[in-house]
Amino acid sequence: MAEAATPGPGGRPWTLYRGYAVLLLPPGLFLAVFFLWPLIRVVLRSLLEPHPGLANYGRVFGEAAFARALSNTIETAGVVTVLCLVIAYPLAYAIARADGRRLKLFMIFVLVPLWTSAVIRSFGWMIVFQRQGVLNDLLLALGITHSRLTLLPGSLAVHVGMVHIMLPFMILPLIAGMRGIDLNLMRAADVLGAPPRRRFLEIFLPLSLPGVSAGVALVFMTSLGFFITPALLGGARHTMAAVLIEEEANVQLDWPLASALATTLLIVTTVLYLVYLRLMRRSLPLIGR
Amino acid sequence: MLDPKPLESLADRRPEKRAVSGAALRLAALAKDYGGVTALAPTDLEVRPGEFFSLIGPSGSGKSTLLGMVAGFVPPSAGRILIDGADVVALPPYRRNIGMVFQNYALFPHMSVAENIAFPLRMRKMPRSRIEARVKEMLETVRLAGFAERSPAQLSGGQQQRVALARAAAYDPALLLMDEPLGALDKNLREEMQYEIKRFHSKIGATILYVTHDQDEAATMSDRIAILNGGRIVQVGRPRELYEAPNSPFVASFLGEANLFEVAAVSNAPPMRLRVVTREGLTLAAHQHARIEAGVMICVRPEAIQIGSSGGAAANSVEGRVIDVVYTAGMLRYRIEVMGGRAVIVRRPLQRQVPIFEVGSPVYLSWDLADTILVPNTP
Repeated sequence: MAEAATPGPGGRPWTLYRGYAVLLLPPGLFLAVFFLWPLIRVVLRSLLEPHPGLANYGRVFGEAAFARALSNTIETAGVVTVLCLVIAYPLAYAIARADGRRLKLFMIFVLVPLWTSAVIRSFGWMIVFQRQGVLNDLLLALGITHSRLTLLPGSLAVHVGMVHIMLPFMILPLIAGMRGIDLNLMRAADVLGAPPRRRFLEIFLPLSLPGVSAGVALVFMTSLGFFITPALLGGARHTMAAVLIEEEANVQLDWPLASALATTLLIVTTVLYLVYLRLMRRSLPLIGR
Repeated sequence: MLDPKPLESLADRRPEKRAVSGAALRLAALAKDYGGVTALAPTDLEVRPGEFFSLIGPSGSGKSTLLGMVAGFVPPSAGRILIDGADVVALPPYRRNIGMVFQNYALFPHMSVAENIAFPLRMRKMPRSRIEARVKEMLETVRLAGFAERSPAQLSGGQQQRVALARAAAYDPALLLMDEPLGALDKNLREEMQYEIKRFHSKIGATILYVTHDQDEAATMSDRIAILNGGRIVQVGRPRELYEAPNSPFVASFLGEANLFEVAAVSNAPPMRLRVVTREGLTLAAHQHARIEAGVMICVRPEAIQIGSSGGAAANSVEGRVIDVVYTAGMLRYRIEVMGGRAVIVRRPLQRQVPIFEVGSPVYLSWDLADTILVPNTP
């Protein structure tokens, strides 16, 4: 944004960054018109329609189905985040140590899934998890089960589908963080007498936490708002907030209630994020900044 | 070459009690190549216990490769590394019990100064109370007593380097490696730290293997120096030895400045002198025992040359003209054009009674018989 100029005798001193603020204008305007204003309208609608008051929020917290969906949303996002971290950390560790062509190859493997839409990949998992699906065929053929399992709709399918989609968003910040760790620190630890395990636990792991923190925040926050995958794989008992909001808005046409649900999800997400930030700042006092 | 009698190292003269006795380091045919490219040709080297030994050379000369192999980061292609007689080539770095100071300090950013110094002690399972005492002692040794709880990021470059020093020496390693430890510091701080490290060395008594590309630094600090070029050690000796008796034109010009002349002809000239004619046609004189012959190089150091307005009685006297003169911290550095268009560098201390010759003035350069030094024309 242009600042109010207060020209001194010779004008403001020149800096390299003068004028760059103008570049913020187009995205700033776009976000204000197409994001901030609609968001404000959602919040207002939840409070003012059909009658001014907190009636909509009363329903959100009063009806068991809504509360269950909300807690299910947080739980699912948490499970998906932990699974992503557990899978991504060793993977990122290996990739971060690669160089040149191998690094490029690994990065392509990580990024390729992003080229296929979440809808198509969720349909793919439906084929795997359905009663006559690939997974049941396999389990029967191997003799692990003796009758077909009902995995769809179910939380296992939702978790697997979501982890599949979210994994790159965990791997990428982890790799970025790990590649930022000075190799000389590991060498120093080595020559100072630290065997590989101690080197990892005392040097590499703590120094990789900023990357972990970024990945966890990204995956958890995105998972809270997931729609397609839980809608296709989750069914009524494993509904997540976004699915419920869509249903209230498009099927029940109860926009005020949908708005109240959306606002609640937004507040929960914001609060969780702030708590998380504070925790991270406390546990990473030296390298967090 | 000067006589090879064992050097009287500074260490021998020190009265202080030393914490450890330094290790003897021996490299036997140690070599490294990277896919056909030779980083270090088979190299033999002996570093004596307690010695401050420097490796110097231009970048790519193999000095860092050599240090990396001793530390254990670079697997040798061939050869052995013996520390106090035991071959350590197969041991990982963490089992070699070597101390190391890195160029960029390599302090752990998520640990305080005290935690950094305690790290190697914890790895050695020292009891907590002894660790605390030892950390305190090390902080005092490097004069950072009040800094225990600081984060490395809160320290200046010189302070960080002192923490790195304390960390590397905290567990009394008998061998301490230093990889351009002062490379990132500015000039004044670097000189201060040179004395700090020397003081430190005399106190701890470990053998130090020190890598630098700064020849002044090496000369100031070292008992002995190995000069590397193109993946091999070209000369080993005391700083003065290397300066006064370089074994090649490379060593002569790498350590300090050198006026090198190619010898075209030599004849005997009484009394007990050699009459040396250079490629440029200059006629110079040298000691008969200097073993100068046609085809070799001779070297005259810039500070050995006197400059005057008339030829004196010195053994060597050469006529020239001042091309330029610059003033550098207490010294005048002349470039003098002599016969054949050759520029000769002369350094004179700037004292009040010393006349300054202006650019263009005719001058005579003179030097003693003994200052015409043989430089064997080896590569």
